[in-house]
Amino acid sequence: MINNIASTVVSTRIRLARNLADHPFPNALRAAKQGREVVRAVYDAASSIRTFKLYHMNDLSDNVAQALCDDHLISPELAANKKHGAALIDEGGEEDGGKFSIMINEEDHLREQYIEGGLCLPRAYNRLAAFDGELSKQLRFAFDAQLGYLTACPTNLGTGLRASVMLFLPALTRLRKMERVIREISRLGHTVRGVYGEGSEAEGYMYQISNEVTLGVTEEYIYTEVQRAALEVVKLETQARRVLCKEDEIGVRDGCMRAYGILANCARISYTEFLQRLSDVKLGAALGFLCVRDFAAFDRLAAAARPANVGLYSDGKLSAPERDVLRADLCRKELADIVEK
Amino acid sequence: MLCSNCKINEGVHAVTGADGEETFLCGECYARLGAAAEYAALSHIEEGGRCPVCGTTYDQYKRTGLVGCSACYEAFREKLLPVIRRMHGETVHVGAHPLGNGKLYELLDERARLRAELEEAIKRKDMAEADRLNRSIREISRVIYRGDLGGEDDQ
Repeated sequence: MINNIASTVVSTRIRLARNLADHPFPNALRAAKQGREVVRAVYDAASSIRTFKLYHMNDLSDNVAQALCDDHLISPELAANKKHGAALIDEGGEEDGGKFSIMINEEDHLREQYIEGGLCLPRAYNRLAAFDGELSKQLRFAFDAQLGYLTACPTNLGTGLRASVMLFLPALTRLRKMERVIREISRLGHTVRGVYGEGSEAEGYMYQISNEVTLGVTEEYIYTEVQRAALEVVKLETQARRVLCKEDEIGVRDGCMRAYGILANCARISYTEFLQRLSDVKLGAALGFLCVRDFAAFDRLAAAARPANVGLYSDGKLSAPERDVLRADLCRKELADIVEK
Repeated sequence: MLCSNCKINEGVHAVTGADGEETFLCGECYARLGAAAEYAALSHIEEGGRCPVCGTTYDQYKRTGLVGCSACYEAFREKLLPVIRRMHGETVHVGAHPLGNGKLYELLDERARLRAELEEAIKRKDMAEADRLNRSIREISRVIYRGDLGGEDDQ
């Protein structure tokens, strides 16, 4: 039986906003040369600490840019900044459990990020803070004795820290409790939104909870509070799942097993249908109707099945129906490994 | 001569303003404004609020929600503090700080100066000078990346 945290928390993300003291912020960069100087300085410093691959937004194909956006390694805003935008993606892969990346010339010169599966904000913060400390020995960050790290938007001043937890909340969504949860969480000084950033719809019952305030509190306070709020939401989701089962256990089980039947046997499937069916399977697995070896494998499958990631096999040249066939192949093969017979 | 930015401390670092006039900054203002001070005027703040370093106006900030450089926080401090208090409930940072120190910042400035000279030398096609500058830049980079600058290491 999968525990409630493992079947609700998808991943943990830490982001630090930093700027170089002696360059205009990205919104005030004019000549391409100014942007290049920032990219070069950040790349030189970061590469002396870890191995990164440098991506310039102006020579990134739309498909690769979309795939990086879907993986939360870059933002759509950065992808659109062809003139100055660049990203450094950890070449070390995920062998140590998480992934480092740096967006360069997004809203701030640097948006350092560390993503890891599961609920582990303290560890994720410590890893990124160690990296950031090394960077600060090579780059002069814009820092003010009163206001802390200076950022293009004052909402990120002080620590520049955004601590986020990605959550799978099917029962709260189905029971139409999300509005209340969002209200409660915002009262604690945090925000809840759809996983794909501000304003985007919660896709596949996925939500992100993160801190609002970045100044006047310590980094430890921020990530501890977000972690506490995330655990509170896990508790509410667990209760909601029980309610859902009590109301209509046969219905939930039927939805899960039918969805599993389709995913395990389809020959062609659109991303929208795939996501809906996978969410039903995940909910059923979380309630114990299906035995799974590793719940996180569902999220890895969901990521691999996104249109841009399926398109990577052919550098974006596949048509949507062709991608649907590939997605179905992937789905049948992966599900057979995830679900125990 | 008093620092032309804070008008409190003794100005010790010579910088050139946009009007071509030489002006002096104290160590504190120079460190805060950084090399940005070198390429822009550090004259008085315009009526209505314009950052003397990047030229962003307070009206622009109100429109976009973004300031243009670190010196904007100095230029608009009085106006921004109440806004920041509304956003965060506080106006004083209590978290981590950078580990870099004065020695690092001197080396970064020196490297930036040498890079500008290198560009000039390449334009003049003075390859002997370019080669010499290149070697100096590499040497400074090596010192920076080795990281033994005596910086704090308390995180």
